[in-house]
Amino acid sequence: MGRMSKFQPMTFYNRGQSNQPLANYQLLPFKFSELDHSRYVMTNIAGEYLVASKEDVHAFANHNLPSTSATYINLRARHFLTDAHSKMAPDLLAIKLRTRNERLADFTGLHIFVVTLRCEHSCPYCQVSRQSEDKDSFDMTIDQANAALALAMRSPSKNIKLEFQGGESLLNFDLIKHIVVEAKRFNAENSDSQKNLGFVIATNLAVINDEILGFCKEHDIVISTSLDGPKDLHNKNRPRPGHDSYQRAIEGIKQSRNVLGRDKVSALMTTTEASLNQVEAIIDEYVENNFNGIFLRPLSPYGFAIKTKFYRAYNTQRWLDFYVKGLDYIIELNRQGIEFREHYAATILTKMLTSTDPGYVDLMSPAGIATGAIVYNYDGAVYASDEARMLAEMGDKKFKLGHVLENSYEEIFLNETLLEALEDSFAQSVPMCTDCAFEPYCGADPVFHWGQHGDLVGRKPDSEFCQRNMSIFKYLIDSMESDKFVRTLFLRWAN
Amino acid sequence: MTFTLQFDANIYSGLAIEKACYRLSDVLAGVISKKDNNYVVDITFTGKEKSEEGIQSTLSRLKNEVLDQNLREKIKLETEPSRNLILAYAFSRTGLIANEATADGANE
Repeated sequence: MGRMSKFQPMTFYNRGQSNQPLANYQLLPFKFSELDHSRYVMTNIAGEYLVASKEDVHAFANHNLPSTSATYINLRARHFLTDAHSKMAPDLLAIKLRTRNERLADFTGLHIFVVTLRCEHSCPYCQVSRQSEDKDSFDMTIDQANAALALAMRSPSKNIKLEFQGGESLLNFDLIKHIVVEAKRFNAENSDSQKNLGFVIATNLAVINDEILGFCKEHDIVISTSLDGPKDLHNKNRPRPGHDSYQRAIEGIKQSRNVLGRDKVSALMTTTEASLNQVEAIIDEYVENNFNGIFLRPLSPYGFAIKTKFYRAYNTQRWLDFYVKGLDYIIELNRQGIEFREHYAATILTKMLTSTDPGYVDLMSPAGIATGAIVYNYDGAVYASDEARMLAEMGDKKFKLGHVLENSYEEIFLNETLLEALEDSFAQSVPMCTDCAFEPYCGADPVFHWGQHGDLVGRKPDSEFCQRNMSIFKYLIDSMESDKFVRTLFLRWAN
Repeated sequence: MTFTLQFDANIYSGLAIEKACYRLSDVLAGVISKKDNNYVVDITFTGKEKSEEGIQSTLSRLKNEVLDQNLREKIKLETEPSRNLILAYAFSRTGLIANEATADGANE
């Protein structure tokens, strides 16, 4: 009787060596793209990635990769192949793929109400706002708000977030109060289709007061405000009577946190040409004001931003330099023990390192327009996204899906333009995207490409969206591969 | 300035060459034809870089891109059954596939 061993004989580990006549592994679906001159990034069907040398990837695809190599072991562990030891790989991949796509069935979760276009600021890059006292022309009416709310509540999503935007949304605070109370009443009266409601007020905080904050506290409403950086930059970007936008924002943040709690107040920044050489100072401003992160945003190519040549004032590469410098600085802060994150990177890392899709509208395929977020404009028009209404302000109403008082839920969500945009821009079917290893992390964004190229898909070699995101994907992966501290940090951001 | 490259049709697929030309369409325009057993690509450079060195570098990029695209074709073909199996299994109980939802009553 032979002796039992806990270990396999050497011949077991040699299976798959190049001297074997037949390769004994099967490829599972994967894509690869160049990371640099010597390495590829590979992604499997569930979006898990691996970096390997070009030689190894060619050998692997041609069934010549020895099963003893480190690359082979990694490929097996991350479900790029099946062999005698990994029969479960297709099942595991399927489960991860299903998890990644779970959100699709939820449909529209974010409903944006533009309660007014009026604003007391006169920011030169703003896409939509009006300096007007004319409430009749630029405020949403109660009838329109009720109709929009009814549409929002029809969404199959269990989690519904209502976000109030402007102009300066607080200039029509009475309507915000009405919508919040009505939404809660609807929920109470419809126990069968109750939603988990969330409310966000996007405001520059210039006109915030205790009455408003008391209402926010009572109804668990969170505040999303604007902070562009240090005082000089913020005030330059955001002119208003009295030149005190920064002071009002900082005081408003403190006042709001005192009533609502620190985690109920977030801030967004807008990048202008004046921002490009002071990314560290912008980040420091956020750190000093006790934010746990920043979203380093590119400027939208819409509206007054284009009219005033703000957008063309800097190209994608200049923005990328700004972004990478900022990200490096944030990593350095973390090395020094200051916990701080960059939110766009964190969103992408969640897609790269987990099976969860964070549902960020610009990085969704099928596109997130209308299926992830939808906009009810101040005049009752329904737009497929925030960018779609900005495009409309420039005179292009391509993505107007209907009107809250004139069209049904079915007419709005089965709108031909919407369906065409969703179908045509589906990244897995788009030239170049279909073969791109980064496709699981990327998105379709038909509104951006329509605005820039007059085409729902756009030619990707010329697409700033593609250039910007590809560069960020490569940068994030390269950083994780070359620095263990960064890998640990990014894992934390992703989860 | 026009250059011509030839690819053996026994080794390279026409689709792989087409995709490679598309990927570099910000710097070149390619016209693909077939002559005997070769794909012939007539290339016009449209980018800013017109130096001899720049053109040779772009041509090398195109050749490498054709190799990559050709390999992608092979992988896609070889993994088609498992890709379909995984996708079908992943969505089998989501109710997103109308026929299935009705057939097993999951969505009724």
